[in-house]
Order: sequence, then C-alpha cells, then structure tokens
Amino acid sequence: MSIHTETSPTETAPDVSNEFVRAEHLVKDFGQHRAVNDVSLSVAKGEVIALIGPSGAGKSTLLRCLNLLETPSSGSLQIAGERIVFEGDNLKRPQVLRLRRHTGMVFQSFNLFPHLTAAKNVALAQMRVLGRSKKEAMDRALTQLDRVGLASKADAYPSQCSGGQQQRIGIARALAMDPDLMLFDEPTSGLDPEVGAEILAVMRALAGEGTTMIIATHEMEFARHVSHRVVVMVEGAIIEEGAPEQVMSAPTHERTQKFLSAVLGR
Amino acid sequence: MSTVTPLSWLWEWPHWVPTLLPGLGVALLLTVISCGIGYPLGFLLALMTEARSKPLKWTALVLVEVGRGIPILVLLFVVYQGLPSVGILFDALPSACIAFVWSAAAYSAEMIRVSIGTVPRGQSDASYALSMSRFDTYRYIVLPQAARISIPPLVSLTITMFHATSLASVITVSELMHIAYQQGAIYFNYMTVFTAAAVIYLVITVPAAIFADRLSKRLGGVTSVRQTAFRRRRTPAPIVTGI
Amino acid sequence: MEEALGLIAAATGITLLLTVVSGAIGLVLAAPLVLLSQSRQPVLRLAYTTFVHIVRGVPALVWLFIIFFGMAELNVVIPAMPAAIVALGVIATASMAEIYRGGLNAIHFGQYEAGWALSLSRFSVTKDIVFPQLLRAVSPTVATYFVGLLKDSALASIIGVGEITYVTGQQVELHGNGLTLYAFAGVLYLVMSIPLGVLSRSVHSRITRRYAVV
Repeated sequence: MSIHTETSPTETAPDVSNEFVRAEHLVKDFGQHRAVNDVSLSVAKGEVIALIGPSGAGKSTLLRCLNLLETPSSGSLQIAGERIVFEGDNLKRPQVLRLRRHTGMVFQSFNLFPHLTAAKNVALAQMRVLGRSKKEAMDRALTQLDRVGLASKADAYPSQCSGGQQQRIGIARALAMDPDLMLFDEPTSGLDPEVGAEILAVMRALAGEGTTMIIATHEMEFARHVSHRVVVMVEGAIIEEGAPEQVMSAPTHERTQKFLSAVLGR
Repeated sequence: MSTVTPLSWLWEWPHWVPTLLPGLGVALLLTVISCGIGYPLGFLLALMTEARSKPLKWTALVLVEVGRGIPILVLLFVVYQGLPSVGILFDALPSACIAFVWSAAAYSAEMIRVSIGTVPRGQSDASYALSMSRFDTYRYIVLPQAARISIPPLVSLTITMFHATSLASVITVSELMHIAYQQGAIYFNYMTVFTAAAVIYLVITVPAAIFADRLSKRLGGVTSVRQTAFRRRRTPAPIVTGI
Repeated sequence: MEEALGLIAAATGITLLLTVVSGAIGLVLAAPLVLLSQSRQPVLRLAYTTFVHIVRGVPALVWLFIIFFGMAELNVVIPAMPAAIVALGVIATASMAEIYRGGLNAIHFGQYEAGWALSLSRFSVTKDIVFPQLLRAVSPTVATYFVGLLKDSALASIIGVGEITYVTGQQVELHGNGLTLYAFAGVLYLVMSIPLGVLSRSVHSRITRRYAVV
C-alpha cells in the first residue's frame, strides 16, 4: 500500500459504539500549573480526531498522557481493553509498558535516532520490544519505509534526509510497531508548507485505511477534510467537539469562534 | 658535563633527552593505567549518580566530588603518606596509580554525566514512545550518543592526566620530572634538564591537543546546523581596530 | 593535634593569596594577549598560538621548577612565593586567553554586522556590544578555572611556599597522623571551592540580569 489511496476517510465513518480509547477525567499538573484539566475523551476504532486549539492549550500534554510519556495526576485511561486508573504514585512499570504498546507517536521535532540508519530506526524497537528477529524486523522496516515512499532511503542516516523525509521515517518507525492508536503531535509544525503536504498525504492515506488517529495540528483544512471529529482545547480543557463542518463553520462556544477567526482570518 | 654558562642550556638540552626517556615511559604508563581503569570507573560512577537508589547515588556523588575537589597532589599524599598512619602501606608507584585512578574516575564521571544530559530529551521520548525499556533506551539510544559527545573532553582529560603524572615525582616515582630533578641536583644544570623535560612534554602534548581539537570540530558538527553556517566565516572578526 | 590543625587552617591565607593573585594576573594579561589572536596579521596570530600551545603544553610543575630552580642557576634568584605566582600567573594568562577567545568566537557574527549597520564606531561596538556578551559567555568558565587554580596552588608546596599542603606535610613529619591531617587539608580545599562556586553563580546571574538573554 502506498500513499496514493484516494478514499476519503469520512466516507467510511467509524462505528462509534465500538469504543476503543476511553480517557476519563484526566488531570495533569506540573507543580501549580494545571496543563490538562478534567479531560474526558472517547475514541472509536478507526476514528480520526483532530485536536485543535491555541499554543499552550495542553494538546501536547494530553497526547503525552495517552501514551504515558507523562503520568496523569488523576483520572483513568483505557486503550484496546487495557485499563489504568491513576491514583498518586501507584503506577507499575509493566502496566505502563503494556498500555504503551497499543500506541505509536509521531513528534513535532521528529526525534529520529541520529546514529542509526533509517531502516535501523524503524527496526530497533521491533527487535527489542516485540522480539522480532533481525531479518523480520528489517523486512518489515523496508515495507513500512516503502509505504511512506522512502524505500530508497533505507540505508541513509537522518542527517542525510530532508525534514519531510525524516518525519516520514518517524511515521514508519511508529507504524512498524503495529499500534492500535496513532498519536501525532503537530507533525507538520516544524516543516515548510510544501513539505508539510507530503506528510499530510501520508496521514490521509493512513486514515483512509482505517487507522485510529488523534492528531494535534494547526492545519485547519486538513482537520476539516480528514478528521471525523474535531476537538477544541483551550487552557487544558475541551471546550467543544463535534463534526468538522459543525465545529469549524458554526462553533457554539465563543472561545472557539475567537480562536478560529484568529487562525482562519474570518 | 661542565657547569652551565647562562645560555648554554639552549643547545645543551638535547643531550639530556635520552636520559629522560625512561621517565617518559613511566609517565605514559601511569597515564594509561589511570585512564584505562579510571574512565570505566568514571562511567560507572556517572551511571550511579543517576541511580534511583539513594545509597548508590550518594556514594557515587561523594567519590566524585572528593576526587574532583581535592588537589591531585593532596590525593597523592593521602595515599602515600596518609594511609601508613592507619597501617596501610603502598609503594610509591601503586600509590600514584591509586590516586590517579581516583582522580581520572572523578573527572571523567562528571564529563560523562554532563554528556548524558546533553542528549536531547526527544531521543528518550521517542524511545519510550516505542515502548522500549529504560535499560534499552540507555543502551541503544542515550549512551551511544553520550559516548560520542564525551570523546573530545575525555581526550583533553587524558592530556591533563599525562601532565598530572609529573606530580608522581614528588612521591619519588621515577618518572620524567623525578629523573630530571635528580640530574639537575647532581650537575647543577636545572635549566638544561628541565628544558629537555619541557620539550619532551611538548612533543607529546601539542600533537595530542591538535588532534583533540580537530576531533571535537568533526564530532561536534552533527548537532547544530546554525553552528556550521556561522563557521563558514573564516577570518577572525576584527574587534577594536584592525591590528 | 589541635595545634597542627590550627596551623594548617591558618595557611589558608597563603593558598588564597596564591590563587587570587595568579588569577588576577591571568584575567588582566589575557585581554591584550587575546587581541593578538584576533589580528589580521597571520604572524601575530601565529605568535599567539605558539605561546598558548607552549605554555599549556608543559605541566605546571615543570614551569614552576624552571622559574624557581632554572632561573636561580642563571643567576636570577626568584624566591619561592613570587616564583609560584609567576608560574601560575603565566599559565593562567594563557588559559584565560583561550577562554576569552572561545567567548569571542561564540558571539554571532551578526552582532558585529548589526553594529556596523547602525554606524556605531568600532570602539563602541567593542564596548557596548561585544564586551557585555563576552562577560556573560565566559564568566562560568572563568569561575571554574579559578577553582582549578585553587587546587593548582598546592604545587607551590613543592618549592616550599607555606600554603596548606606544605604546612600539612610539615605537621605530618612532626606529629604523624598523616591520614587525619591530609584529609583535613583536603576538606579545607573542598570547603573553599564551594563559596567560589556560589560566588560565580551569583556574579553570573547579576551579569545576565543586566544584559538580557539575546
């Protein structure tokens, strides 16, 4: 499968009764600062959520709570049947690792491992976490790299690749772990608009294949056309969510309106 | 050798180099021992300072801070002249080895600790996001990058340790400066022999220092694009007036 | 025993004297020296590089012996304390010059260009743009160097200067108790380096407060 699939994801609307990810009353404090304020979110299998809002609204922190790079101060999280309730310091490492296996993350600053080739970047965690043999891991790495159109760069180092290519390698690396949920933390914010389009095309194809995705982004047109649901976050809380057309053309909350007019110039 | 007239040391010093060379051998041996054992120990200490276990962490911190905070000369005396007062006697050479190993371990521990901190947080983020364990993250992602970053300072440290071996002469280890001093005392030609010693040190140190410099430029180039753009400016910036 | 400890502690003054004077010499003399490294004349730059490489390429002990023993033999008798100060001072000069040079290189070329574009005189560019940024860039490294200088001062004991290590050695010869006395000396050095670290941090933050981060 390559990036040329044209199926619009909204045509294959997910079955919302199939609740795949469920976050309840998530709170994350950094000292005095409450970055995530009582956020509850439910995601169906195959659903694509666009997470929008001003900078500093807590979108990144929320995503990092979903794959436990940050430990929520309270609340509960359930992904693909695996559930954790956050109370104080009770989190056990095996629990964390089990939940994390269901997620994959793509970062704004790519975070590729500079001392490894593209293929090794994609293969390493497969070998160390999933226990795949070197041959199998490398084969799958090549498949994933091909999927994002970078089979030719398998033996290149990140420093030899452009920004857009690096991000695609990052996507391949996350996909190679066969995650149930893909998290994108402003994947195109560090790239030129032209280059960003490459990434958006890959993400659109993934959505078309039925991948469950949560995407924090500033790309409004992308959010409108590719997501099933738009969630608006301001100052750590969700103030509005709903179908893209509804939220973006006729928002109910005044703050959303304010944000959208600043961003879209309306 | 006759007594030295004021400037004769300028051309007499080469005659003394052969006499001093065995001392160079000892100095190099001490350097190799102190760094060869000291750096792995330093690496261990660096990891220990990051440990979650309080006793481990504090032991390491004390060993590092004492090793770094006390002059090497005093460390030498502590081992050679201090320990005998509680019944532990080491000969000169072993004493020197112990003191230098401790010193090298302490300084390298600090360098390695800093290098680990220099590895961008995004690297461990990405590794954890892929569900890799803390151990694997350190082993495959953080430490390889930290090692690369710490090579230039460690090369510099090795040169420093080589210079430090000159202090072993004070506790009668028969290295370069000890032999030089003895010869000077016998023939009253201190200037000549010390010049010879200085030249020997220079011959080893200067190429090593240039190598270390080139190494850090080459290895340092990976991280910042902005730096390379800046380095394109070849001539030094004129400050006050064009001198 | 207390008498011995007291004598050792009293020697702190000499140690500090050695450190501060050599350090001051280095701080001051390094400034004109580093100008050589920025010259447009390759000969001057070469002179700088040669000087720095030679001074720093030879262990401090060797310089100390050359100045104390070597000079005496050439009929220039220099007493122990001045010899130590000169040796440490010259090494400090070369090292600080390198520190200054690093700081100068760290100043983005765009800073000079902005100054020239604003038609500032070369002198003003140096005084108002370069110097403050240089201060900010080098102060942590200079502070670290001073702590190193404090430890290097122990070398003076070898040629008989009455600083901490020398007095400790004397006392050990007289009374034994080598471990206690040398450990005490070590602790003295450690304790002295702490305020230096604190002082450097406060100086650094005072400088950075006045000149905001670019």
